[in-house]
Parts: sequence; structure tokens; C-alpha cells
Amino acid sequence: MIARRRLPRRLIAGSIGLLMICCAIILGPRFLEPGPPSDPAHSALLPPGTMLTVLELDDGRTLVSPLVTTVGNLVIVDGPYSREEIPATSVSSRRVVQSWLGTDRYGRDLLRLMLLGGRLSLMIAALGALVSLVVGLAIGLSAATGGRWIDAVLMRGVDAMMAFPTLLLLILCAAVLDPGPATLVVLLGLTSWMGLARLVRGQVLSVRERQFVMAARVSGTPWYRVWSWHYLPEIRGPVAQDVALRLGDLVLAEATLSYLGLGLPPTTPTWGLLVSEGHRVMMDAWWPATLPGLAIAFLVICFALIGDGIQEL
Amino acid sequence: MTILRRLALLPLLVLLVATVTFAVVQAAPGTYADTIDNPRLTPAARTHLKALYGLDQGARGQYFHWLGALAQGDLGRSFLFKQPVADVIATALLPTILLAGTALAMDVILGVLLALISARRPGGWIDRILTILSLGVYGLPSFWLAGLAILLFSLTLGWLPASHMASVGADRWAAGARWLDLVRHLILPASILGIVGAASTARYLRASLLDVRRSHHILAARARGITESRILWVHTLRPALGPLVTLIGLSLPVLVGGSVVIETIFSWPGMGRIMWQAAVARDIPVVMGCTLVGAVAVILGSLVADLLYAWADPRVRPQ
Repeated sequence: MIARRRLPRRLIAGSIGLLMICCAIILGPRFLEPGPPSDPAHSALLPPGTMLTVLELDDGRTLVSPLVTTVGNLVIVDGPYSREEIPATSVSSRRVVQSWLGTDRYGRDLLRLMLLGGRLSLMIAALGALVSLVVGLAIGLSAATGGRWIDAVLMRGVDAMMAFPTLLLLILCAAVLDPGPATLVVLLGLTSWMGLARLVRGQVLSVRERQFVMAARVSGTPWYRVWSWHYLPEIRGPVAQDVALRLGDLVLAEATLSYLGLGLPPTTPTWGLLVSEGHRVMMDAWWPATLPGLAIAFLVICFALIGDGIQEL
Repeated sequence: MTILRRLALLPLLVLLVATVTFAVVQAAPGTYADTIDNPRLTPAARTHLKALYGLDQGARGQYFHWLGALAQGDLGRSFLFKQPVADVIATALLPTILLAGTALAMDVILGVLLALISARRPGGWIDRILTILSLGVYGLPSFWLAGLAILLFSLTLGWLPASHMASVGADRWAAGARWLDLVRHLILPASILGIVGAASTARYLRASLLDVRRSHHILAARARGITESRILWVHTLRPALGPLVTLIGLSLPVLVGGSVVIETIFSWPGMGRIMWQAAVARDIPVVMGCTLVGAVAVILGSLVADLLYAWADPRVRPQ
């Protein structure tokens, strides 16, 4: 009887962390709805945990401010950049919300921004890793099984790709192509598959010399069955580990590009962009730069833990 | 033999990389003449500038012109910096080597030390703390750390300068003061690059040290009564160094390519910053020059990595 091995603790910890992030970014914005709308004049750069009063006025405006006082018939809305006095009759609704992680310099709720940005960051990294997985697998497998010439040509191609200064290529491409999530996915995917291709090629080359594969091949097993029965199970582990670590790298790469202003347009709040926005107001407020940075780190660490765990399996 | 063959392949690879880069730069909308932001520049003068820089010749004409000049050892003139590209790269190379070299040294020394301390007693509390720490630093984006370090050490405490290589007016100081000034400017960017690198080095080396510990020759060494510290430093470290040496060889290109992010944040006048400025300004000669240097560095780096690997692991040496 085969003893069931326990799952490595790192794998469990990483998966739980990742699951938490996924739940937060998928379900979070729904619970925050309707979150505090932005009101730069009254609620810019408020520290985490501030209670905000949201006033909806008859003329359709929404005011958000931590300091709202009622004096007789007058509602006084205070904020760092402006102070307004409004007759109490023109306030149509009034509610109090909490800004858990504070607000950025445009008065936007940081938690909400981070949850929305996390969707983008995670999706871009995941799809980028998928592109790199498909390309890497295809190139690696063809190089390993296609014969000497195909192997030589493909592997020199991999060498050439690796010889590119990746960030320069990304900068250039980001300048050429329209910035957008799709562009970013393709760029990140196409600049990160080389390691995987080498890994797959090496693994398959070592497996194909093993006797059971030889036996399968001489007994006339069709090639697709040799691949799916013998090659794929053998390369599954290393590839899974590589993909997990790559996901973390891609999260960081996307954040770096966004930080440099090359990723997505400034209206889309990816984590890298939030850190770069936060750095502009670093002297006045610590949270707009610090918290998104910690979110990036948390996600990368989760992927690293999963990768380590897979290796231990 | 293999070395010679790979060196022979080098020009071919570099040419391939250069051609693709050229195609990408050419495909980018706008030329250098279009990026000049001068309201007094008339359309006629702009066209004249284009003709002057040879930007009106079409992609193929420019490519062969560039290639012909390269064959004569001429990298061309930078549009943006108004200097020969070779000079631009030469002035940027030294700061980058200084920064990246310091960072790499910190990376390796700190990484190896941390891994050795961890591997003395795997699973002990020191190991646990170090593992968690290195994992944490590994996940942090370097630009985030850089911002935090500037905020803490430059803006709040005022201990270290936040940008450039020298203080204003430092060129009139005595040599000793100038050196001290340079070191003070170097500390923040080099430590951030070094610490981030050391985190992954330590993670990587710890895993391979633990791997080696499980092998038979360690058991044999222990049975022969060799002291634990000698087992760790000699019998475990050397076999584990192989993959690490590859990793270092592969990070050699950073020495010449520079870290775009850190150099940009700290206004360090190195290759990464030059590349970034040139790419934004469509300064094709500089972009091409930097790509060439970068590509050569990457290829040589992987060659050096393989040689170092053979030095560390006799099994892969060619007979």
C-alpha cells in the first residue's frame, strides 16, 4: 500500500494566501459598493481608518469629507483644500463609511483601488504566464523531438532571445504598441518563455533515452500517445514549479513596467502604478506607496511558496 | 573547442539581436525629430533636421547605413546627447559597473553567508527567521524599497544623498572628500540592488546546500570524523556552488546593462538610464549601441557562467 504523503506546508500556506487574494479581489469590490466616491477637494490623502461622511446633494454632486459639522441650518464640509457651506435642505442623503486603508491624492479609496488593481495585476500575470507556458512548451518539445536541425535552430533562437536586454525590449515595444492589458500580456509572455523552453527540452531529452519510452516507441505507439503518457507526466512537476515562480516574476515585471509608466494608461490602478503615484506624495503620506507595495510582495511571496512547495512534493 | 565555437557564433547572434531591435525601433511611431519639444521649430526646420540625421532615408537605407558604419567600428552619433555613441556609452559604463559591481559583491557575500548560517541547523529558529526574511525581501519590488529608503535615509534622517553620483560642486573638492562623497552616493542604490539580490541568492543556495547535505559523501565525511564546520564549508559548499555560479554568470549582464529602475530612481548616470532616455527620445544610434553592448554582455555572461560551472563541478568538464 502506498502511504499518502502529506502536502508540503509551504504549498498549503502559499495556496491559502493566493486564495485569500483571489477572494478579496473578486468579491471585495462588491462589498465595498457603493464605496466612497472620490472627492479630491475634501478627502485627499486621509490616513487609514478614517471615517468619511458621504453627502449627496440635490444638484447631483457628491461630497466626501472626514469633517462634516452641522450648525443650525448649515452643513459645513471641511477638507484640506476647500471648505463649503451648504444649506441642510439641499442634502438629499447622508451616510458614514470607513476608509480602511485611507485615500490617495485624488481622494480615491485606497482599498478599493488596490482591489481593482489586483484584478488587473493578477490577470495580466496569469495570462502572461499562460502565453509563456504555451510558447515554452511548444518550442521545448519541438526542439527535443524534432531532430538535430530543428533543435539547433530553435535553441540558437532561444539564445538570441535571451541575449536581448529584456527591459529595453519591453520599453521599446511599449512605445510602439498601444498600451493595454492585451499588449502587456503578449509582451510579458513573449519575453519570458526561454527558461521554460530549455527546461522542457532538457527534461524530454533525458526521458526519451529511458527504456520505457524506447519500448513504447519501437512498439509503434503513436507519437501523441508517447507525448501524453510519457513526456508530459515526466515534465509536469518541474514545469509547474517553473510556472509558479514565473507568475511571481511576472507580477513584479508588470509592477515595474507600470511604475516606469510603460504599462497601462494612468487611469487603470495597477499596483505598480499606485506605488509610483504614492511616491509623489511620499513626504506627506506613507500609505499610498507602502500598502500597494506590500500587496505586490504578498502576492509574489505566495507564488514563491507554491513554487517551493511543488518542488518538495 | 566549445568556447571557440560559441565565440564564433557571437557575431551572428549579436547581428540578429541588433536587426530585430532596429526593426522594433523603426516600427515605433515618430522619430527623434518629432520628439523635440520646441514650439519655435517650424515644420520646414523639422524636415531639415530629419534629413540632417538621415531619418528620411527609410528603414532599409538607415539600417544598411548603420551596418556599414558598424563594420568600420563606428557606432554613429547620438541625436540626444550630441556626442559619438561610443563616448556616451563609455561615460555611462563606468558608473554602471561601479554600482552593479558593488551590488553584485554584496549580493554574493551576503547571500552565501546567510545561506551558510541557515544550513548550519536547518529548521532551527535562526534558519526560520532568515528564511522568512529572505522570502519577504525577495517579494518586495525594488522600486518600492528604493522609495522607502529615500524617504527614511535621505528625506527624514538626512544621512545619505538620494540622487546622482556626486554632490554639487564636488569636483572642486580634494580627492579624499570626493571619494567619500561618491561612496555616500553609492550606498543606497547599491544596498538595495545587493539586498534584493542576496535574498534570492540565499534562498537558492540554501536549497542546494540542503540538497547536498543529503548526499552520501557528506555521510561518509561525517563517518570519517571530519568536523561539522569543515563539512559545511568544504564538502557541502563546493558542490552547491555550481548552480550559484551559473546564476552569477547570468547576472553579469546587469553589470553593463544596468538596472533601469534603480538608476532611474536614483538618477545614477549609468547605462540603464541612458537606454531609457534614448528609447523615450527615439535616439536610434544610442538604443542600437546599448543593445549591442547588452547582447555581447549577455552572451559572454552565459559563456563565463558555463566556464565557472565547469570550474566548480569537475563532472561537466570536457575530457
